[in-house]
Amino acid sequence: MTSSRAPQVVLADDDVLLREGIASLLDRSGFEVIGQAGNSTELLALARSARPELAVIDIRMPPGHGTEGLQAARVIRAELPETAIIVLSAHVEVNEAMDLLASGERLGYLLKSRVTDVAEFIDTVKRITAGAAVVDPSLVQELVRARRWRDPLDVLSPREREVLALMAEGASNAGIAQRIFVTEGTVEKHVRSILTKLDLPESETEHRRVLAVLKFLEAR
Amino acid sequence: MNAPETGAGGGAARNSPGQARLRQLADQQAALRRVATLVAGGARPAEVFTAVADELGHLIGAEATFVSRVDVSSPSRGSPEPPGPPTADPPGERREPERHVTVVGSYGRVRDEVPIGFRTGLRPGMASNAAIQTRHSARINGEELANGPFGAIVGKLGVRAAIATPIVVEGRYWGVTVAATSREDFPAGTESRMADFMELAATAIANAQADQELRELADTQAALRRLAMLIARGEPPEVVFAAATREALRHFGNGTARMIRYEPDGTATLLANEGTTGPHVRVGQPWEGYPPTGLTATVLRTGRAVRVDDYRGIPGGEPYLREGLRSAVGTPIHVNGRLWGMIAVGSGEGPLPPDTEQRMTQFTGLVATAVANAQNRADLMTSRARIVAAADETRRRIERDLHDGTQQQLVSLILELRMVQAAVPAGLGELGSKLSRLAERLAGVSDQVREISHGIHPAILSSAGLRSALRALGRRSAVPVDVNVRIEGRLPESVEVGAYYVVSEMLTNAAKHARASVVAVDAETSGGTLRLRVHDDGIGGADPGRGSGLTGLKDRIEALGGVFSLHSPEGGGTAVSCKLPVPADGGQPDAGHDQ
Repeated sequence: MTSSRAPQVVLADDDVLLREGIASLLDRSGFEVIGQAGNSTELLALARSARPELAVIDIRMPPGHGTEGLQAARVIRAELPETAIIVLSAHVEVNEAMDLLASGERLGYLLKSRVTDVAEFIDTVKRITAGAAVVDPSLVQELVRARRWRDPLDVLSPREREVLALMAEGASNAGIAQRIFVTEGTVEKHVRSILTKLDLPESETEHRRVLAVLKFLEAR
Repeated sequence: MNAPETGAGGGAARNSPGQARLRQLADQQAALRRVATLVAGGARPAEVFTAVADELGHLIGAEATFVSRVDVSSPSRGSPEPPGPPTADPPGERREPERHVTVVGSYGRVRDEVPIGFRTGLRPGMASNAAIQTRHSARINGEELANGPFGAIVGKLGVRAAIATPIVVEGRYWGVTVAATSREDFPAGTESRMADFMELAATAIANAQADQELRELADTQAALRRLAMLIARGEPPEVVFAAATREALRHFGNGTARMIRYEPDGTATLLANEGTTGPHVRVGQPWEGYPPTGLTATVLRTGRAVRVDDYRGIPGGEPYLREGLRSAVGTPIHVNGRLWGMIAVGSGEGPLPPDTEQRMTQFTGLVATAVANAQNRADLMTSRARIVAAADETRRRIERDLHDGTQQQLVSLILELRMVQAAVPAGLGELGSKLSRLAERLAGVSDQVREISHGIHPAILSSAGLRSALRALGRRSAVPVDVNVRIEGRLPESVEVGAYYVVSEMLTNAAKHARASVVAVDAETSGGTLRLRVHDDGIGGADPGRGSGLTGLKDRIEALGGVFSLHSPEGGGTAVSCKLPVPADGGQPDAGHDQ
């Protein structure tokens, strides 16, 4: 992908109004929506022919209104590993997040309503196309806030908890540093401390780090 | 009767006729006393009848005696002649109702030829017949006896004379007693001695009989109580049918009992079978190929009790003969004034006792109530489960409409608003910020809609299953939760939803009322049952009567055929245990991401 050309996007959602809304938002924000689909069959045909940089997919689509979008995402990832994928859902579930994240980087799993916070949504989309793996903050919050009897998270300081949540959302060390107003070096120290305290492995890639943290949070 | 004065006169007139008469009276008294003691001790009628036969034999010096019941029955189906010795009676000519005698007690070595239960028609030339006809003792001997209907047996036993005396119980001809001797003949006056004894023994027989009726009543009551308890426990109708059939066999059968239901389309279904069986006996399956003159067809046609005395006389009765049945009685079961079905009992021996129909009709009348209750309860359970399922389905639809419709539209609207906001010229900053606030408020509404739809039906339950849904519930709980779920794959939707609501309500209760510091949730499936236990360490004292939430849970779990129990002692925490049946093939297809 050259920097001069706008990243090409395909969109899949059975709600035409919302789809058009997202399309026009992306078009105005430096992306080029090259095709729209109302179900996963159309989406797959479109993705195979257009080989876009990004696919934005509604998880619930006809005919079953189940998790068709998730299945389509898996197929696209297998056939077109270069294509970034964002799955949008009316509600977020940790199983679906982990399922998706397991297939690699350049992935996003977000609440549909995130698109209404336009600036942040566009920023997230750009991070994902650039290689990040992003999980909706509301899901991470639910996981981090869950109260446990003899909680393993009790060994973390409040700041470390904050860093852990941002790690789970898919922020890079630089991204975390920006969010909590500290230097990247400080973030690195926090991350090392967290991994040691929770006995988590060092991960070479960000999406593996996200997955490891999610798994830990879900299982505790 | 007054006590005989045996002591009077001392030994002086030992052999005078008066003395002999006195001794006879004393013997008779002693015999009666023994029989009466037996009755008072709760002996079964069969024992009493045998004792009477015994005492009579000793009293009059007979080698053999019989106590027989007399009954009047219409000519029986399928049995031109009762089994027994061949008859000299000409066929046809039977306008009179047939009288039968059934041996109920005997004395002497006669059991092989004339066993207890031996039943035969009364015919001319029989002492019994003469006694019944004349209502007095009747004696037959010599040629008349040897050439009579029992000539063969008489010859075999070496009987040369017989006396029969009617037995009158409470003013009715109850039966007849027969005494036989191999001597030339009985002494003169034996008739009156026999009559004297039997007149007094009749009281014992009547008492034994009344006692037996009472015992049978108590027995029937006990059987019905057992059935009622099965129904109250919520056992499925099949279990109740099988139990009722077992009771029928215990009370009336002599080999087999069956329950058959008549279906509205004219077919019949075998609901339960106890005892003998064969390839045509398939419980729960259509009951087919029954003979057109057999019990099933005749009860259906007439709505009355029917008997078959010998399946050899029934065209198409071979399957029953092959399974070892000879005779049977079927009585209708009427439920709500409609012929619902039939209970039949069968025997591998001769005809069933003559009062079987009457006794069974009383029994089936009461069984019908039990059956109707079981059926009603099953119908009620099904409709409850249907109502719960329909309500769940409605909630699921509302949740979907909110997610896919309302919320989606809100998101579209906000997005559009954001576009408009972006298009506002730089000079109209206030308009832009107003639009922004509007969008934020709408976003708040969208969040609310998501929360509401989650409360209506947790989408995660449909998409990811009970395990994931319970873990998610645990994460959202204000009180720390230890979730331990051992469930493979998916369960039927109604079971998942039911279990979910139990946990959800208990977590709410733990946070709001119980002041608990931790809640444990354990769920496990094994052997077709989901076992769910939720317990907290709070203050206890939860009252299911007051807490409508807990009452609702109990109703829901019971509607699914499950068991719900609450244990919440003051200061001892609150624990709920549920057991839910999980049909083997009732699971939903696994969405594939429930680990």
